[in-house]
Amino acid sequence: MRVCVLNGFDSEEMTVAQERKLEQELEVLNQKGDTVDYFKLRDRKIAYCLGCWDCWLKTPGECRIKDEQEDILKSFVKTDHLVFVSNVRLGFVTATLKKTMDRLIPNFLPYIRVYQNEFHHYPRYEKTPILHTRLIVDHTVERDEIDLIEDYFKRVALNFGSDLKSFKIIDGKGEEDYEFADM
Amino acid sequence: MLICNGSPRGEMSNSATIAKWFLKDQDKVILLMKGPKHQEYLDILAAYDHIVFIYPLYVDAMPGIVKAFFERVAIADGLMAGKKVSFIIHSGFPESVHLEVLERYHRILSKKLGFVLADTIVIPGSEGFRLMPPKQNRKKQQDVMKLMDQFRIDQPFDDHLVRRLAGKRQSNKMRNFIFSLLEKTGITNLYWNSNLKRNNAYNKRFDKPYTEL
Repeated sequence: MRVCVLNGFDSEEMTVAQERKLEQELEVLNQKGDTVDYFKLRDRKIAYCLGCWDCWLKTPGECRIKDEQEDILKSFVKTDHLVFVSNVRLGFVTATLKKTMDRLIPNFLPYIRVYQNEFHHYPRYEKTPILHTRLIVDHTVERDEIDLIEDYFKRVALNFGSDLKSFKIIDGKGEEDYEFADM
Repeated sequence: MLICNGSPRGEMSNSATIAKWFLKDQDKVILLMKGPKHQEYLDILAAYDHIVFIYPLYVDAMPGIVKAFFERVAIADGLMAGKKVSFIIHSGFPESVHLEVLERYHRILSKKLGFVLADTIVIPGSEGFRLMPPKQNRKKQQDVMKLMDQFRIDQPFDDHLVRRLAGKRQSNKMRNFIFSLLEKTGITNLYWNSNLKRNNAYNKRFDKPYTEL
């Protein structure tokens, strides 16, 4: 099994306990023989999407920006499971994570299809990873924010032609089980 | 009124086209794609009491650069408190269902930043606005202009206009069936294919550059 983890934590200070727990869980997967591509996004040089559509119309499948997003695009097409990790920043996922998500579009085609009674883009690759979310919350995060973020990832799964298999909340203590082994 | 254009395409965007539909001489436009200017934009934001954010849907929500700007605004505690804010969000998809999560998010954001949310105007099917002759979108243009006139004088939005702009939440089965039939003829891909051919990239359109890596 191959797992790609996009860790969009944006703050050392707020997330150190949870992040340590996350990395311990990933180590368990590694020891089981699974392949884990772990991307700590805040440490990577990744530019914002320019909306140029070169990846659709000039160099199909390839982004014109050559930066540390490229490894993520390569991992995306090989992985069985894609895990989005984020703390809740201003009621939504962090800009750090959203920036990387925007830059996934080279792995989709510009062409539109009817999928589950809605218009969506075709995936470029046959293999589509199963999606998971690990959301770090603290006492300031309200239920409507969590619900909205869960609904957001359901929409993302629909757009990717995939499923959101798990959506787990990790509170500020970082003591919960990430249950990556359940994948 | 301050208009915050959140499209990564900046002045060459459909968001810019929509902004021109209602822009007045005394209005100011800032381009959120210019990340290094975000700090400077906070001072501009502070000087206005009516603010409109316009941006396209990127992977089911706001573009990352827009979220980064919101996060920057939040650090300047109380900067948005009491200001009147409306949003115009748009996407190339013909149904408004794609924009619903974002519309809900604006309500959460208004609580977080303390601004008064006028409403969110949702415009599906926006791809190509910037390339279309103005008369092709005259009705949409008039509706947006009326709504923005209401916003300027703190009147509630005309719900009929908001709903007309949003159109259908989801396509019906008949429309989907017709689309699927047209797709087989290639008509639905004409726009993409003509651009691919112009760029000498048509033969590479299904390339999978990362498959063999």
